[in-house]
Amino acid sequence: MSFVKTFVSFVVKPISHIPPHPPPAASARRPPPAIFEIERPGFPAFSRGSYMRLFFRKTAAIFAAATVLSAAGIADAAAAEAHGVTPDPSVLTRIGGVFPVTNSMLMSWLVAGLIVLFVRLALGRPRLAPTRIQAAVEDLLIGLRDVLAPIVGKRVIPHAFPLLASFFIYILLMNWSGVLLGLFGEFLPFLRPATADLNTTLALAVVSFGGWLYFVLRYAGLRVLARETFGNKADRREVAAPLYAFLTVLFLAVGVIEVVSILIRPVSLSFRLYGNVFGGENLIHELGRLAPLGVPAAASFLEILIGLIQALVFTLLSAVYIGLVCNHGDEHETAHAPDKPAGETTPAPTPA
Amino acid sequence: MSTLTPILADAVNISGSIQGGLGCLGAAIGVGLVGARAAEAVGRNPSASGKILVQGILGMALAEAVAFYALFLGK
Repeated sequence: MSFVKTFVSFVVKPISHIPPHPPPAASARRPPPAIFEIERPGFPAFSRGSYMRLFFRKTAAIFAAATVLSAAGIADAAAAEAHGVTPDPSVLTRIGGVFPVTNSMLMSWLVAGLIVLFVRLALGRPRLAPTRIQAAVEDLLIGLRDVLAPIVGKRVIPHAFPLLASFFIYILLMNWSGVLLGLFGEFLPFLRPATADLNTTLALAVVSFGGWLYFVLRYAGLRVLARETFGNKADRREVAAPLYAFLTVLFLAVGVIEVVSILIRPVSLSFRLYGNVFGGENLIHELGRLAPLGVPAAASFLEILIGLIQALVFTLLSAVYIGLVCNHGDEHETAHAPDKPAGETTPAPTPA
Repeated sequence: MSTLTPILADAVNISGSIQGGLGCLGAAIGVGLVGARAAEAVGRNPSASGKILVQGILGMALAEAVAFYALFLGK
């Protein structure tokens, strides 16, 4: 979570108040974690913080400029449209007269293209001695991995991480695209923040659901999934036989409710993301209509934070859904670990 | 009858907003509870703040979903 902490501290504190990053002591240096599974024996360690600081100083400067300037852009927008932001995207053109291309689709393609271009041009091939940008991106990925690994489980995280990390970065940039668009106001009506469109978020949620199905069936199997959903979780040795039979029926009924709650996950994922981003977009525009200068900038800062949190929430929930089924094996392993004494554990002494 | 109909129509119009407002109220209470407990937990064990942040965000997200059900699915 160092990435979030760095970012949050950045947004909260003015840039001039950040003390210069002290060079780490020789003992405090540690070798870079091998996220790409590359061992770097004997290579001098890089200090993790400095690159991130550089990276986010520039990012934050761009966003600060965007939010301040957005006030001017929104003032124009307020004059142009009296009503709020429309809940639906506008269709720009239809390919072959059938397939519609909307302004939010254009934005999502733009963001995806920018990510591909960034990786191609700025990163290129990952090198053993990381360049500055590679170190920054590695740090972002390491931070994400450290958050996601305990949720998804050690076994599945190498396979699920690419999808989850892509979710985070893609959604984050699409959320922030709305704030950046504030720069241009009504000059770019053919672009709409991509996640302020229910179609985009629904598509993302369906991808998340498909990924969940794939990872669960591939790494846990249908039997584990069925046992997790419908199976009797009571211990046969501790529960009397009639009660156990009753509990089996009860857990079967609970499993039906569980299936409904699983099927409603894509709906809740997409509504949450769409509601937050679209609501924020509306807030910025309405505030811009009420008080054109300066006030929308505050809402834009709020939107930057909400965009970050919602991207994290989407990623975390996708990870939790996978981990709920796939992470169970690890738990059992640790529960039956030989070095851990079975039976009751002594409670930690509570301070008086 | 004729005087009651517009009142009823108004009541029907209002009901959607009340239902959305109640949904948001419930979600707000839930998010507040999660936030309060998370802050309390960090106060008790500051070194666990990272794990508590993740759990807190998850809990808030799940509580918040109720508001969007009420807003989009209702009416």
